[in-house]
Order: sequence, then structure tokens, then C-alpha cells
Amino acid sequence: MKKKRLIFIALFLSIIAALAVYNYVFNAKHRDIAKEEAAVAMSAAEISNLFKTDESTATTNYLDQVVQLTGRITSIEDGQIVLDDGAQISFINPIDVSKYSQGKTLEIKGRCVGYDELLELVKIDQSTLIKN
Amino acid sequence: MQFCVAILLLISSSVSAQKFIDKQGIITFEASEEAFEPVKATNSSVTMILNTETNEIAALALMKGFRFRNSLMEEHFNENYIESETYPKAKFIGRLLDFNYSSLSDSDTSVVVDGKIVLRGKEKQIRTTLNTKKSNGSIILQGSFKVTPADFDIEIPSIVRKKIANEIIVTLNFKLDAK
Repeated sequence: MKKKRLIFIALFLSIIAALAVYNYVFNAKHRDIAKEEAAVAMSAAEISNLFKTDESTATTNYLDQVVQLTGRITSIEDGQIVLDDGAQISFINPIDVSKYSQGKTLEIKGRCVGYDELLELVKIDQSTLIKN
Repeated sequence: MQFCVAILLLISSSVSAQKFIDKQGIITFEASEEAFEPVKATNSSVTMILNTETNEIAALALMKGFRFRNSLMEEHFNENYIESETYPKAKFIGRLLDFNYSSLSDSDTSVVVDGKIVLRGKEKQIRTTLNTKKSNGSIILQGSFKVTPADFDIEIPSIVRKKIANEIIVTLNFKLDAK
């Protein structure tokens, strides 16, 4: 009787463990960029220059990395901001663009998505404001 | 009088030479099979440039910008299928056929777009019909087309073949503003 119960408990526990592993692997949460430490900090003009001069090296170094960027606002539209005419920033949570004006300096943290050579802009997504 | 005409001509020619740009275009692709988890991702930061004088059109989507609901699917998409570290972007270069900006109205009209998609180092010719209209001075361009993983030499392993549709439906939605 006791043995049976033990087997039952062991079986039950292993099912729970299997479910937990399954859930961990197949329903893993997305990265939380806002909580991640920035791998590198520089100005928006700098990162845009790095991509402009040597795109493949910059891609190897910064693609999918969390970067912290400082820059002057050069354009504002539909919840997105362009810093130093070189980095297009989109935010995790929509920001109130009416609060920002061109020429102001902004510091953000976000994920580097890559380089858009049509507009010569480095695209950054899932950003959060650090300082404004 | 002549001066006025000259100015008018100058203004109208500069208007027709305008470029229309969207930095936040939306592309969604879906390769879902019934009864399985949806295989679907959206990129809401796609760039498109349209020259209304030549009707030339160019678009660029960064692969890392495609977001899936399931993070494991996103990882597999980037690492195994698209190889986005090696091929970080998809490009489209082409033109709109019989497109005339000045005759665009507030209601949808169809326009044929012809060009090529460059993805994973492969080129695929594409010709499809999209809807276009004018809205507050912007050009709206919407529609969808189909591609297959084989078009871009993407191999789907047999273990997941049942879960991923053979035809991938790509939906696009752009709002181009004069620049």
C-alpha cells in the first residue's frame, strides 16, 4: 500500500516537472530590454557612424544588443523619435511626443535592430527613457 | 504674368518630384496551420520610399524587427530559418505601374507593383496588386501577397513541417508622407 502511494507521488511529481520544463522551453518569456543592463553606451551619432562606415562589423558587435544612447532630438513623429539624425527610436510603451521638442537631448536604452541604409538610420526598438 | 507662370511651374515640378517616406510601415507574415499554434510575426518599423515622379519604390525590413508572440518561435525564426545575423534585412526594389499621384483619391484604387524581394541573399521576382489611396496628403498602400519558404531556400525541418504552412501570407500597410 505504502509503495503504491510512493509510486503515485513520484509519478505525479515527474508529470509536474515535465510540464514545468515544457512551459519553460516553449512558453519562455520575451527578453525584458528595460531590465537588461546596456552592453554599451555611446551617442546616437557615434553608433550611426559605426554602421555607416563598416556595417558588417557594427552588425556583429551591436545587433540584438541592448544599447544606451544619448542624442539630440532631430525629428519627432507618431510616437517615435530620431536622435542625431542617425538613430530611430521606438519605445516599449507609447510616449507622449508632445512633451518633447526638437533640439532637446535625450538618453534612452533599447535594442539595436539593425541598419536601414535607405534612410541611413540605426533602428532601435523596445526603448525606455533614461533621462530627458 | 510670365513670372507667376514660372513660379507655378517651379512649384508644381518640385511637388511632383517629391519623395514619400514611411519609417514605421507594418509588415505581418503568417504561415499558420489549423490546429497548431499561430506562426505569425509583425514588424512595425519598416521603411518605404516612393518617388512619385518615377514611381520607383523601395522598402527595407530588418529581420530582428519581426516580433512573434512566442519567444521560442522568434528565436528559431532568427537563428535557424532566416539567419538574421548573416542576413539582417529584407529589401524590396520595384515600381508602381500606371500610378499617378495627382489622380489619387480618398477611395481605394488598385495598383500593380512589380519588383524583386531580396532576402537571405536570394532574389524573388514579384508582381502583385495592392490598394492605394490618398489620406490627408499621405499615400496609403495596403495589401498582401504570398511567398514560399522555398523561394528563399529556407528549409523547414520535417519535424515541424506540419505546423508551418507552405504558403506564407505577407500583409503590408504603409502610410507614406511627403518629404
